[in-house]
Amino acid sequence: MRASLTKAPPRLTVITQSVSGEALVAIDLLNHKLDRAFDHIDASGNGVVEREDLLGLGARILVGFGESPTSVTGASLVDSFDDIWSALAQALERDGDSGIARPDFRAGMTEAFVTGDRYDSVFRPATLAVAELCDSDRDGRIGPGEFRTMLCAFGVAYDDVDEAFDRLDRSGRGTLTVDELVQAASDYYRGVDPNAAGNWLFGPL
Amino acid sequence: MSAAVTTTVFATVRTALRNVMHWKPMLPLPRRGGSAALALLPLTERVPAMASPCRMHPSVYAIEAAVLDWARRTGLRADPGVGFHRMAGRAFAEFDAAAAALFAQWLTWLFHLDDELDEGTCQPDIFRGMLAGSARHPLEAAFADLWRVTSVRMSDRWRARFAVGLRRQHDACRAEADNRASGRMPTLEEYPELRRGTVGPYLYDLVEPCLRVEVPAWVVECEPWQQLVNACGDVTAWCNDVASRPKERGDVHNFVVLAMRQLGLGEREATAWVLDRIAGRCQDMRHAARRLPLDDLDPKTARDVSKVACAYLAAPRAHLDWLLESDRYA
Repeated sequence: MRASLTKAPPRLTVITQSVSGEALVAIDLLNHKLDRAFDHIDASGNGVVEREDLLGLGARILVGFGESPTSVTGASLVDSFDDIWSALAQALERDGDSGIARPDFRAGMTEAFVTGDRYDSVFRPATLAVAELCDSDRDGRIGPGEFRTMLCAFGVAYDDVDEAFDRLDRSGRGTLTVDELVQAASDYYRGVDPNAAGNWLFGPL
Repeated sequence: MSAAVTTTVFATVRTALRNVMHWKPMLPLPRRGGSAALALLPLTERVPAMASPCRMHPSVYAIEAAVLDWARRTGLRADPGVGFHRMAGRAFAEFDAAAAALFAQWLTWLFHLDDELDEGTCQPDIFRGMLAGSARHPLEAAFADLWRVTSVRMSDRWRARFAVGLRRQHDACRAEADNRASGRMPTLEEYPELRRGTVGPYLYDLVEPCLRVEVPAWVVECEPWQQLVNACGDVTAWCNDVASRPKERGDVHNFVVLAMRQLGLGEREATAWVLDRIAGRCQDMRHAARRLPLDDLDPKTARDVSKVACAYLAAPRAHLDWLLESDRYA
């Protein structure tokens, strides 16, 4: 059954009830999503992410699509993931070889890509590269199969994928466009609107 | 229009214009006096997985120094112009310098072995010495040194897999030597399997210790993984055949030479025939990678396995970049 497009995710409702001010709600929502983003990278679950972990996520995405890091899109993904790590390390005033714990990851992501001005120049190219990988036949459209391949690479539970797809497919066409996926990523990684469809990019929060 | 589509269109138009302007046939052959490896260049426009150059490891000079030092200690030649450190620096550009240096040392050893077997300065019996832990020949001593560093990180199953690969190489080298002695020529159907052996099948197993990971045995044994590794081995071996054809001096163990002899093709057509097969095997690599059972692994293992698979997927372009720059094929 298609989920309501205006309803906030159920677990987000709990968050909104637990805080007092609107700004605080927004910050909680964003931090919650950034924590999930941290978990996507920290596959070993040791509480610290390193550059190699982010590149490991990149490798997992590439292999899921059978893409080489030496194709045009593959190289773009590897370069942009590396740039994200550099921007993150720079925001935290660290060298690129240092590990980053969860609270610092939140702070660095916010500094570089939410309040800072690096999203369009650094983060967006990575989301575009991932979206273009999902559009394997280059027709500008992403089907549920490709979307599942992408979400599985991020470690999203199998049962959450269909709901995520339905929430993002606002028009009910059964496909997403590359632009819609890129916009969903922007909503997810830096958006504070609890009703944004992009909050569902990786399934229920 | 997406960036990828735009790039493809530009590449196609560029190729067509280049051929019209120079009025050359679209079959590959390097210019007179150029490296035979230049005949591989059309692959960069034809095979999407070979479109972008590999990144180079930022510590490539430290990797070079480590390889030269190791080669001196073990008594092997290490010609900087051949540049095994640069091939390893590309294949392991995203990982630590120690990983790239170890792989470069193995490449130095492997190509020495290949040269000495080709030149007859050592016999296939040397494999027995290596498997028995002998260190009389510099190649045996270098192998023992690398094996000590490499195998300590790995399970008995991985060690057994490596030993099987070494034995396969011995058997394939022995078969080639027998062919040369009897004047027999392998058929085009037999050659890929034989070449997979002579190229050193364990080379692909070395990616794991260099990255300090180990692919679970059941994944290694699954059909898509075997397809990926075999296709990767074929692509690199056949690219090597195109680049090294002028050095063969009458040896028929080369895909281009076999195509010329058995299909009655000229050198240009035979090279094109091999390039068609290389492009096909690159497609096979892509399909095999997509079918890997990554979803059946826990997330950390899936990422580790993906890093190894990514090294294979990048190998054709990393190898091509090296073939084009190395003095070995100049």
